[in-house]
Amino acid sequence: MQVALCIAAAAIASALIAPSLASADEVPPVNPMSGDAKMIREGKSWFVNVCSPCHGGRADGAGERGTAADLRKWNKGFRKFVATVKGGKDTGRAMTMPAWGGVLDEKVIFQIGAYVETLAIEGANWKEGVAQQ
Amino acid sequence: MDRRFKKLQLRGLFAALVLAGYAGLSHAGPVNDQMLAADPGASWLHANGNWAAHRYSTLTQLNVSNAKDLKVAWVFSPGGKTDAQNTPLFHDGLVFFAQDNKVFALDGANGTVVWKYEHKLADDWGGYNVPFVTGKHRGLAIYGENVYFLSNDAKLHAINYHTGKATFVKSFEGFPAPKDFAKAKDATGYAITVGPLAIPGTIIVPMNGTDFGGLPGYVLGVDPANGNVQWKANMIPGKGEPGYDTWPEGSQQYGGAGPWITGSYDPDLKMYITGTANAYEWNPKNRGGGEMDNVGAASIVAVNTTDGKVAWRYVGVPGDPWDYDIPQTPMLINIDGKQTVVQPNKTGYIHYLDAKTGKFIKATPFADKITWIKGYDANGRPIDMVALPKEGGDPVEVWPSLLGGVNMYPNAYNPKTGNLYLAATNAGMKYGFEDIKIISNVRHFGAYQEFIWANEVQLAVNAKNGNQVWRNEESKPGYAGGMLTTAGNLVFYATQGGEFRAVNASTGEILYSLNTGTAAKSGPITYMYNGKQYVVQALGGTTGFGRDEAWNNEFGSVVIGFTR
Repeated sequence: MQVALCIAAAAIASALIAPSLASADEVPPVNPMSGDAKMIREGKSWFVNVCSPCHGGRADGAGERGTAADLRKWNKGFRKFVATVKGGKDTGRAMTMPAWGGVLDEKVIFQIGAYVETLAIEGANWKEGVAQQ
Repeated sequence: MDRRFKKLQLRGLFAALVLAGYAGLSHAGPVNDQMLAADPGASWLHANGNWAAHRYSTLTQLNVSNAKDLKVAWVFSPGGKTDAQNTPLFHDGLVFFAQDNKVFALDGANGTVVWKYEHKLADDWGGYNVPFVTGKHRGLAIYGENVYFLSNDAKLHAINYHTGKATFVKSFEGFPAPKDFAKAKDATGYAITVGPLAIPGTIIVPMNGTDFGGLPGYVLGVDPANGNVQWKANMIPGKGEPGYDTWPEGSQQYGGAGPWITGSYDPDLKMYITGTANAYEWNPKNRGGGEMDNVGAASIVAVNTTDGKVAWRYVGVPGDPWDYDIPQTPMLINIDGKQTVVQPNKTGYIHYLDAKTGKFIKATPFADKITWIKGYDANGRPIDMVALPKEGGDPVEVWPSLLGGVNMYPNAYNPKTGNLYLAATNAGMKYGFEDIKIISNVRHFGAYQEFIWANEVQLAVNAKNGNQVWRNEESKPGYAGGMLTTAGNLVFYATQGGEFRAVNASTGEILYSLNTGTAAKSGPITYMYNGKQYVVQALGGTTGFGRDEAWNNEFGSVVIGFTR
């Protein structure tokens, strides 16, 4: 009986967890919108509205609302970018990176990524982990 | 005993009593209207020092001849998780300081915590840009036996200043807190960072946080006994008021104009005079495209405190296309026999208005570089403003940036020197517009800026003619946290990088300096306790604005008491 319960619980748990894992796996290692002028344009518009207050108009972290990451130097690859935008980042202070996953469509996050990638400077890496695929 | 000696003894006793009174005893007990009306001496009862917002103390024990002997008397860490923007208060032996929705009462002699009051924000607190303001508080008020505290979620807390227990906590209908818009359909709300002001019979409650989705700014007058609303003043003109038609119909409801910083009060005119923040959204396409004045936003507004009716509004940046909000505290100074509103602001100019009528007198430049206009005409209208950027096009370079000039970091006025002391900067920006995105009922900015950094400066400016008297320039960008000046001919401030200083108010000569190693985002205060004059400076947050790599300081949180 106990074993049956455990199996049932495991099945429910995996059913709950599986979709999110599947979703994470669905994010391609390289942004499919990279270099697409139309997507980049739309990505800039979104970036200005939701990201630039903290990350600045140049994405250099010099936002009107305070210190944030210099996204021109993003070197953790596209998947990590999407994961961070969706899940946010706890800085340990009041000024945290909010989780945008429940707010922005994945397509919009990809568009933002395509735009930010165009601002890359030395040290940036949007293909981190691609070689291991 | 010799009669003359007895007389001398009595005189000595009298002098001792007077001195004791000066040292604080006569200022103890419940705060009454006379105490509120006085310039600060033994106590510091308003965030801005006095109703006229001078941040000037009559104390002289610390002065130009002994400021070099300053020493740290105590250090207190409030464990802040964001910028320390609060100018503390001092009364009855206690320093009152707010940080992260907590209020601390500290022993004025040694910084020991006497009590701590804590307010918890709701679990669904949050939303667009809200982390930017969470935990920041710029002022407290004290009246009777209560300290009045406005928490981020627009609740007014009356806290007994002896015990730290709440006398009442008041929410205000129509002023919801912002919610995480991933979870809430109705997500926009008022996130409050400004402090209240105590005037006879009323606590002024500014509702400032209008940038978190788009809301209109208000100032409430409430009953000190229970928080009941006495009146409600709209910063943006309502139907029938002059200026209503300077907004496209309907745009007023999300138009911003939050009264961002505690204003000043004229007891003769019975007016509360406040600066207001930017018009919303930042991209002006839905509110006249910069062609309509948007009166009430980026304005100075005078509220009649007997009935809450707005006496006048002066718009300093018509149509506000640059996020040049002008929320800086308007100081009240008698110039040539006329009660004058004097407001240095983000435009790079000091604006002078007739306090009674709001009529424009003049605007004198103080920033090194001003390119957005060529000046103000005789009616207070900008001359030859540069062309606005096109939506989706290239950004346009203007000076100052939306950081100012001077920003929200408080300035001071010394009636003895006749000087204003400005916490200024000289940054410029490239400013551009994009389409405005709306999620839930949250309207986003539709605008962005790219800063062009220049150095922090502290300026002394003749209040009457706007001429520069002295200038201290730092080697890095930023501004001082705020200015304090005293009858001891001193100015106190901490630089953006946390260099706490006492300088000669007449010359700017640095008399004392201590590197505290963390960010300054608030103004210092001074008070007298047990016969000693103290200066208190709160510090904390992250040095610089954005990722300014010129600074090596890490995040900090500390309150320091100085004496000699």
